Order: sequence, then C-alpha cells, then structure tokens
Amino acid sequence: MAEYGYNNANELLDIAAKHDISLSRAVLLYESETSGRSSELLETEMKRRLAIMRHAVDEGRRTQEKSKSGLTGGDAHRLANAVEDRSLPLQYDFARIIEYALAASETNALLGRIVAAPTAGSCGILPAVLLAESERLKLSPERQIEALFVAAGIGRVIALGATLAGAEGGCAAECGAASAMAAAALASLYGLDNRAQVDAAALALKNSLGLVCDPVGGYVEVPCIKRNAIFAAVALSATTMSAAGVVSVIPFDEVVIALRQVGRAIIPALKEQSEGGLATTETACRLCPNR
Amino acid sequence: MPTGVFDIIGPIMIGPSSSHTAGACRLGRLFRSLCGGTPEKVRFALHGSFARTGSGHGTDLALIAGILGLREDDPRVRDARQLAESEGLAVEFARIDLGEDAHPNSVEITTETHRMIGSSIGGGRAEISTIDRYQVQIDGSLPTVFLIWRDSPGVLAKVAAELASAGSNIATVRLSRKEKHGEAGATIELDGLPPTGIVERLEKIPEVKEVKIIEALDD
Repeated sequence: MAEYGYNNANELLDIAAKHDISLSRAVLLYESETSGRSSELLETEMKRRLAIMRHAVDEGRRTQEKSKSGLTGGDAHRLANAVEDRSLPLQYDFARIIEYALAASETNALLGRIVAAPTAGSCGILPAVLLAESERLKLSPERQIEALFVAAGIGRVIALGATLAGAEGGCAAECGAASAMAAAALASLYGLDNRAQVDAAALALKNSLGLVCDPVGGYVEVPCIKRNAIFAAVALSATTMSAAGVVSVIPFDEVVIALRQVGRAIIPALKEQSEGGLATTETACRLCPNR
Repeated sequence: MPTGVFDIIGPIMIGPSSSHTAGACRLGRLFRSLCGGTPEKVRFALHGSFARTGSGHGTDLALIAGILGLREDDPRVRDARQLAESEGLAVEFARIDLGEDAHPNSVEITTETHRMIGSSIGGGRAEISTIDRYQVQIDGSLPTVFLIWRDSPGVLAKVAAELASAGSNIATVRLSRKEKHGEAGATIELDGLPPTGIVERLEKIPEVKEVKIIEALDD
C-alpha cells in the first residue's frame, strides 16, 4: 500500500499521527502519491474549484430566475435581501451560511456551473460553510484549500465504506455526506486538531441516517435546494460541538457502516425514484402531474 | 467508485444532476468521438429514469451538447438546442425500453451509420455498453480503439503487433462476437494517445472491417 494510503478515518488519523501532519496534508500527500501529480499542481487545481464554488454562490445570490420546472428560484436572493436589510432579529452570520447554500443549489437547478461536492444535489453545503465562515473569520484562500482537502478525505472514506449515491444510500449519502465533509472542513478552518475534525464529521453524518431521497417531480429542487441550507446548519452544529470538546459517541468509521446498512434498508421507492414521501404528496402531484 | 480528491470535490459541471446532466453530456461526447465529429442527424431513445425525468434534468440539452463537442462544464450546455440548429444538427428524441437489466439511466443513440447504447452510471460517469451489435465497456477514461473484424485465429495478434510496433501500450482488451467465425467486436484501451496513422495501418489488416478511435474524455 502507498505510504499515505488510507481506507477509513482511523487509518487516516494514524497516517497523520505517524507523520505528525494535519489530515489535510495526509490527504494531499496520498493524492500526490497515487496521481503522480505534485502537491503544488493539486493545490492549484483545488483553488480553481474553490473559485468555481465562489462563482456558483455569487450567481445564485443575485438571480431571481425561476427554474425550468417553476418549482424553485429566488430564495437565495430573499436571504441576501434579509441579510442586507438587517431589519429582522436574525443571527446574520448564520443567515449568510443559509444564503450561500441556497445560492449554489439554485445555480445548480438553473443549469449553472457548479462543483459536485460530493454530488450536484448537495453542491450547496460545503461551499456555503466554507465561504461564509472564511469571510467572517477573514481566512486566506490557502486555509480554505487546506479545508477542502480534509473534505475530500472524509468523502473518500464515506465512498469506500458506504456510498455517495442517493440512489443507493438515500440522501444521507449525498446531503449527509456533504454535511460531514463540511463539518470536517469547518473544523480545519477553526484550527481544531485532527480528531476533532473527524468527530465533527461523525456528529454531522450520524444525524442524516435514514434520510430519504424523494425529490418532487424528480427534479433536484424540492426539497433538495432548501435541504442544502438545512444541512449546512447541521455541519455548523456539529463543528460547534466538536470545537467545545464534544466527542461523537459512535466513531466516524462505524457511522459510515451504519450509513451503508441503513441505506440498504430504505425501500427503492424512497431512493431517488420519486415514488414516495414528498414526491407523492397532494401538492407534489398537482405541481408535477406528468410524474 | 473513483475516490480521488477531484472525484469527491468534483466534477465541475453544469447542473442539475451528476447522472442526468453531466453523465449524459459525456455519453454524447463519446458518441461524437465514435462518429468522428458532429453528425447531420441524431436520434436519442431514452430508457428508464432518463426517459421519465425528461427535460427537467437537462438530459436532452446535455446529450445534444455532448454530440456538439461541448464539455460537461460548458455554460453553453443550456443553449444546446439553439446551437444544434445553428450548426445544422437535426435532433430527434424518443423513448425506448431496453429491458429490466439495463441501467435506469440509459440511452440508445443512433445516426444513419452508427448505433450506441450507453448509461450514466453515477457521479457524472458514462459508459458505453453496446456499439452497433457488439457488447463493449468503454468509459472514456483511456483512449480506446474499437474494431470490427472477421473472427479467425491470429487477428488479435496482428492487431496487437501493429499497436506494439507503433509504440503503443495496451491497457485492456475486450472481445465480443455474435458467433464463432462470424464477426467480432474488439475494444482496446491504450495507455497513451493512439499513434498517428494507426487507423490506416489497422485497416490494412485483411480481416479488419472497421476501426474507430474513441478519444479519452479528460485531458
């Protein structure tokens, strides 16, 4: 096996401890080893993806365009207005995260350019947490890129131990995974140690098990877009706890195994087939009669 | 599934769906490569989930965009229908039932001279399963040579020898045939770009009927 090879979180933590490096660095070095590309090249590519995430958020915040299905559109803009207004008793730093999550997801629904992280349906979660918090804490692009490598490592562990496809594992595999990736990335941004980063991911992932994938009309819009906002908040909750020293009772790797098991137990109708749940409600049927 | 850093933080794509948009675009690109460029007329027959979600996922736009040579992160994917018109590409859509075993996100793409069945298998990845009547497994991760030849002892060896003498290293080989001593379809993935002039050289082999290069999808 490669020197920095890891197939689960425990192995990743061990590799990082053995070399006395951050999780981010361990993930980066393994990628360099297996791809043959230099660290610099990899960081440059990651920076490009960060820029596209930024652009997806910026596009989504500005537009009021409705999606082709007519189901969604303009909600990120509403949040942007509310945050700018300051007339409501909201927690504005939090509202910014919500705004960004909606923004990237709406860009996705409008056939805009996004970075799947890990999927297109969950593409709002990681960027929202990363970008909003980096702005608030005035963190450099380098710190954000570092955080993205941690996110990639967490995503890889979930992919290997379970799945990143909603059709196989339900929405926990997509929004849950994205939330776990975002939680670990945020923990890295906060300067928390390697264990705390993994614990943050565990706390987030745990609280998505059993989530169904029942998109209205089969479109990646309802509940997907707003779910991205909700799961950005899940990541924030998880990392806030982890930062204070709260530990996940069930270790991350075992949560991943649970995800695989629970995902398999969900009936196919509730896994990206729009044949149950929200997709078959009265309103859904009225709005999407052809499904 | 691929779990490299840029498989997880990626692909960069036009939304809304990795499987129904990005994967569809890549299928279009693979077919375009098989055809050797933009055809004049193309027909897409959608199966399963691809058919049901119809235009809401931009699958139609993505397929057309791929045939036109657009990458899956090109913002012009949205304008694929207009682009097709201005480039003189006639497009037809239909539904097809490819059977229970077919992947839910599958499509049969046909022109007057070519036929392909492919699937969008998740995470934006695409895979061709049939070319004309032959079973194949082409995902565009490596440059691929597709050949049809008259099945008889030694043809594969001749083809391999030709590739070797041109300095090309073979990564994978897959053969499929309808019956013994009939016609066989072969897919050969290469480690690097196909050598210049290799198509002509392979076509010179008497048993070889057809040679096509399918380019790798990523640089």
